[in-house]
Amino acid sequence: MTEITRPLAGRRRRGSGPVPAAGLRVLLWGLGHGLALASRVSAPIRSQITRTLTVEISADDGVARHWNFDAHWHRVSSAAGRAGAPDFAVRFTSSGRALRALTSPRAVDRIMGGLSHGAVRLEGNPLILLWFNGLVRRLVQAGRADSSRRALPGGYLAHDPAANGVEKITIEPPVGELDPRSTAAWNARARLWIVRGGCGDPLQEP
Amino acid sequence: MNRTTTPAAGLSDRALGWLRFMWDKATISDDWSDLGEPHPWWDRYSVPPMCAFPRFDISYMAYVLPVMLETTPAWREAYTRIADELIRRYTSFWGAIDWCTLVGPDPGVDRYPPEWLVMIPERLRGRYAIPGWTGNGVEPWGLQPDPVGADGNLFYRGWLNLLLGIRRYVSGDGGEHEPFDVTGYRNRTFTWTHARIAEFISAQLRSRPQGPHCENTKIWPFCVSAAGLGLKLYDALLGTSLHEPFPRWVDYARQHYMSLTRAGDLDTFALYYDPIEQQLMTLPGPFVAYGVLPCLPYLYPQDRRFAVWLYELAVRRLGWNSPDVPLGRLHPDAHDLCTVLWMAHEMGDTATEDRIRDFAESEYQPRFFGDENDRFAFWFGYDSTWPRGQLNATLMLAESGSPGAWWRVFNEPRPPPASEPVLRGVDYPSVGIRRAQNDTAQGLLSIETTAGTPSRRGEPTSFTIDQIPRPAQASVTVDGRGSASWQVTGRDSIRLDLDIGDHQISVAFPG
Repeated sequence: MTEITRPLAGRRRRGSGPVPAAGLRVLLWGLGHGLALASRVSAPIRSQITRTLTVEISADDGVARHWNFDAHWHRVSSAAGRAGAPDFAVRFTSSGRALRALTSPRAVDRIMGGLSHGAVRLEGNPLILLWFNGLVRRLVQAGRADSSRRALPGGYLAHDPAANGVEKITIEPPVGELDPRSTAAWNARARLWIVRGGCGDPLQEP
Repeated sequence: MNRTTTPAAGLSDRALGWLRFMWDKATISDDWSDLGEPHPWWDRYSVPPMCAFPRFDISYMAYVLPVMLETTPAWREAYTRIADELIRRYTSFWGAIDWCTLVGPDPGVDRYPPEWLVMIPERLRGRYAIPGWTGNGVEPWGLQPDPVGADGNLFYRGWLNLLLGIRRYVSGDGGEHEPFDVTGYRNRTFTWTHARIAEFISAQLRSRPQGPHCENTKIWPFCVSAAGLGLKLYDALLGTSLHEPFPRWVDYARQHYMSLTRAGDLDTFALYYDPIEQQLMTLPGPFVAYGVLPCLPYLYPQDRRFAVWLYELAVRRLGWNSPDVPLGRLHPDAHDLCTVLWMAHEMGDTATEDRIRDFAESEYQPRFFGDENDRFAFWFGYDSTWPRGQLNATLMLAESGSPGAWWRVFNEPRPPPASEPVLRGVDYPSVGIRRAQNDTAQGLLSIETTAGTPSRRGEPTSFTIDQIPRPAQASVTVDGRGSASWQVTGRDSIRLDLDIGDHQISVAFPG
């Protein structure tokens, strides 16, 4: 999951044992305290802590750590051991497997691959894994070039009247929000999941 | 009741049950203006945040109509009525509620839940609008009040064009130059025609190699593919060449929107690209396939080889084709799994289809429901009053047509049978039509009826068959016995009288 922790994986072994268990314990300690510290000083990380939830990473041989995300303060705290009722958990069958997966540059691939072979169990929404992975990458890969950021040729960056055939697009000055006079539209908008979900409302359909 | 089979020659009970529920949804009187709210059975819940709008239920629901038509080409009335009702809603306020109300920057940009944040590039999380937030009115685009006539919002006009094409296909009616109104910002109306929308999309696709934008400012291969498919259908029905820019966009997408690993596996595939942020959004690990899957139904009829290649890459990446791995362990997303089941069925990948179908049968709660237990849908584990429309619309395509049926709609379209017998005035949904097909070589119209509303079984009904040459020379058999319960009602029409129920009807007519 992190490049900074890759040296910890130097003594890779399959299965359980004191060495991989110790390595995993150190790795999780680093990620735990690193994220907790970063949530105090890093605005980009704080801005992603939008829900109060608990994430756990553990191995069946006993190594475990959990992170408590606090949406109110945009902070993280972390503690060794299993959480009582985590919202999301990644459980490995052994510390060795956990260490190999978490220190891989393709950690998500490793974890999901382990899922298909029974070496990993996920509890909760798998998308939380991607979110957590994104936080960790913020922590330890700051400044690394993002290969997905690039200018592709032929970008349409401003309105071009010649780009629409014979049709003419009606364009009015930019606005910052829906017209305040449109009461009915505001009321209808408030019922959309994209608005309610963003505000943290429970999304329950009839 | 065990009613799961798909007879090769007719619509299955499941397909008829789904059609019955679609009829309910389409014909109910609900108010899609800004003063009203769609009936809760319209699915504005699935695939949040970007697809959690009722318009997506409309779009997806229409796909099965031309597929069903392949089994009942001599009966089109119900499909046409449903398509008309879908278009009426699509062009309403709630049809374009995103473009007309999600205006300006999203004030909740720093409050998205974690599972939504992952759809934003890592470096932009916490300060970038979520997929689905259309952002009409933002710089540099300005406020564009017309949901169709816009630089962005391709996912509105692209699917509208496809829906209009499907309506034309199932009805056999023309009308591409007939004007209709679309509700825009602050309830202003804008007049369009099917022809103008198609030409507008084609012009934009021609002049914008990356593809037109949906939200301001995101380009989705998913939406561009759907827009292309609408053009493909338009060309197939009208003999135009508006689809001509699409293959160039496919070339562009292959070059810039995706990449493979050295081993030839799928590495990246754009969920979307933002040309202003210069950012291509792709999901990590096997989740990358979630960018591919939504595109497949749209690409397959347009570029079969490319789509099959993408399908194989995506299914392999997800491991859904591996017989050794239980699907339940992989936490598959329901909508994506439905899409793969439909595509596996469509492409003839029977191994994957069987595997996913077994999973769907055991996990997705297929059941008949309604007052008379004659509607059918899957419940997908949701504790909801109504079945999820978007998910069912996709899954039911694998229940309602034979392999290749979707591809044939766009590549071997069935023109309206101008000189073949057609049914008119069927009392649907009291009477259901399981099959209605002409064999012109034999001079035979074959019809299978059923009790669309079981409580009406046994009651008298009648319908007309038009376009019968020399109707006085026709002969009719019902359930294998000659029938006298018919009469000539016009120079090329007869009327059949029968009771509501399961009947096999043959109408022999002179060639």
